[in-house]
Amino acid sequence: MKLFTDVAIGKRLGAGYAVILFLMLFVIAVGLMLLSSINDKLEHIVKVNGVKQQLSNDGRDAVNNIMLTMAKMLLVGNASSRIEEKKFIDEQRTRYKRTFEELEKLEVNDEGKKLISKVKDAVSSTREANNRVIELTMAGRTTEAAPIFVKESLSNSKAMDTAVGEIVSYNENRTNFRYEEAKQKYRITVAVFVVIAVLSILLVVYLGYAITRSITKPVASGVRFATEMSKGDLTQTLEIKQKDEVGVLAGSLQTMSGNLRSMFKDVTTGVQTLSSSSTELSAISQQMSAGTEQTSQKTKTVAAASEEMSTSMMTVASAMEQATTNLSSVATATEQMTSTVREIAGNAEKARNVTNSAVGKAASISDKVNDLGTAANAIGKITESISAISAQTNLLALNATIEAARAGAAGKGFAVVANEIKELAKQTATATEDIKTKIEAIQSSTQSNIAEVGEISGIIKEVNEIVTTIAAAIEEQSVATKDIARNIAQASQGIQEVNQNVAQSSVVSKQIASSIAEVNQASGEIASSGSQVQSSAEALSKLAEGLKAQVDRFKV
Amino acid sequence: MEAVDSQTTLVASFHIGDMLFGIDALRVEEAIKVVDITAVPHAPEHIPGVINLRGRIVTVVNLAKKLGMPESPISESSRFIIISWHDEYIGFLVDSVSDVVAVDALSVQPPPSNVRGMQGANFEGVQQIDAGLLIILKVSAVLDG
Repeated sequence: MKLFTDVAIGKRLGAGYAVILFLMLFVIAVGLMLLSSINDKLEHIVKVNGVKQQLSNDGRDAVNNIMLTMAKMLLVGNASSRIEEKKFIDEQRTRYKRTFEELEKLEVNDEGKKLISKVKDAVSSTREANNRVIELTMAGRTTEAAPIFVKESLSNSKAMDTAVGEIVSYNENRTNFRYEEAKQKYRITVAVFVVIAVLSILLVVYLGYAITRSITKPVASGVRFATEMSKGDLTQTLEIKQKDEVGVLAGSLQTMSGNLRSMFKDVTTGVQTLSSSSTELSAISQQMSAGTEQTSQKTKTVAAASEEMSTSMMTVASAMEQATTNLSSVATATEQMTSTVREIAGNAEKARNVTNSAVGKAASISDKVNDLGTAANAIGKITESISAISAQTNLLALNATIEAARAGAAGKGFAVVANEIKELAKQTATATEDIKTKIEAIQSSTQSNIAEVGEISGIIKEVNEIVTTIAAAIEEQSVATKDIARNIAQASQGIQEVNQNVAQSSVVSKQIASSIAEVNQASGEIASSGSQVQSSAEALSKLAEGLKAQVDRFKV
Repeated sequence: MEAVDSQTTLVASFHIGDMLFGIDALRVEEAIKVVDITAVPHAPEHIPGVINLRGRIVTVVNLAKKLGMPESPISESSRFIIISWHDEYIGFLVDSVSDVVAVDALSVQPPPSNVRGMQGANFEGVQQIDAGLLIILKVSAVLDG
């Protein structure tokens, strides 16, 4: 029941105990109540009914004593004993007065009260007579007293006795009644007790069972779970879903199992990584070893190379010597070249002068030819006029022919004229063509002459340009030669510098050699570090294996 | 000049483009060089305008246009052929004038219905001469049509 499993164990147990306690208290309370009731009843019987009985008897006794004493007083007695007996009667009166007062106090029922008042009435009714008797007796008048005593006191005392007897039997009845009440109460008490007892027992048994089970069942699963875990099986699950301490504990166990599971998984992964990393490390340190070997080789190579460099330096030095010698011969050659250049420059000038005059002559020829061309053109224009005349003549011939035709027979003579004109037109046309042809020939010849002259002009110009170019080139040569001379000077200087550098290089190569020695040393150190790393990697590998073995013990 | 008899006609021949045409010489007044044409507003397309010939008004007809041939621009050899037509003078603009030729009436062929797109109704006939194929124009057809 969820109610059981979700409440804290302490509370649960407490509740169970509380229930039991409550039931106990309840039973006790009920019992006490009932017992007290019975007790009350018993007390009543004793304190009231018993006492009442006692008092009634006491009262009767007192009244009887009074009677007897009165009788005694009457019958026997002398003055002194009568006084004593009167005292005794008074005592007895006081006694029964007190008794009936107490009885009255104790009596609560109407019936009882009625009886008591009946007795009181009886007593009071007898009192007067009794007092008279006593008086008379005390005075010695017993003979007067005796008949009153016999007639009234005795019968009254009988009536009183009867009344008191009623009271007594009434009290007896009451006592019985109370007794029956008490017995009844007892029976009820027993029944109630039995019922409560049975219910309580059932309830307590159930509670006890349920609470105990609610605790022991989950605890048992928890114990099973923990036992499995201790054997190394971390794959278990604990299905306890309670909200009490056991539930919390189960949850924590579950969480712990889960955490351990993942932790072991992580550790396994980590161990694998560790394993592979140490292998890598091993490989790397081997590489490092190989690397240092290479470095060693290389330093040897460098050492050899710097040896070579030294040798080269010497070669360079001798080469520089050679270069210096060469430079001097170059300087001489340059001098010669300069003078040659000057000669060429002079010749180029002469050539230029010649070409200039040639150009001038060509220009004048060109002009003359142009004049020729212009003349030919003029002639051409004349030819055009002749052509126009020819066309006009032709037209005239045509019109003449037409007129002749229109004139018919009368125009025959005119027709002859028209014919002559036509002939004239034809001749003119032919002559014009001739002239045209010849002029065209002259013109074309002129054109070709002009073209040739143009070519010659062009060639001469080209020659001029070439000569100019040569002159410019010579100039440049001159400049270049000066440049060369300057460069030679620089080269000389350069050689000096080279010599200096060679000296420096020697120094530098010595430095290189010492650096190489250092590098060698360093690579040696690296090699030893590498072997250290190697051994560390091996140790790591072993460690990883050990861990793996440990972890494999657990099932995840 | 050949002998003129009743069967021989004299035809004034001229070129328009590369084609040789001819008009009966009796109808031709004269041939002159091209002079400035005074334009006439609202004139039909084939009439560029009029000219003044010794005081007479001559209506210029662009014969190429009239016949529906491709035009050539006016050149040095262009001429007006003046003919009289119903009391007025018409000047045919032609590209060049050629000879006056004698045509044997019997050897004139009837014109084909269509010559290079021109209506055959415009022609009297055709005649093969030394200079080429002469197409003789029917002036009435040309000017009335």
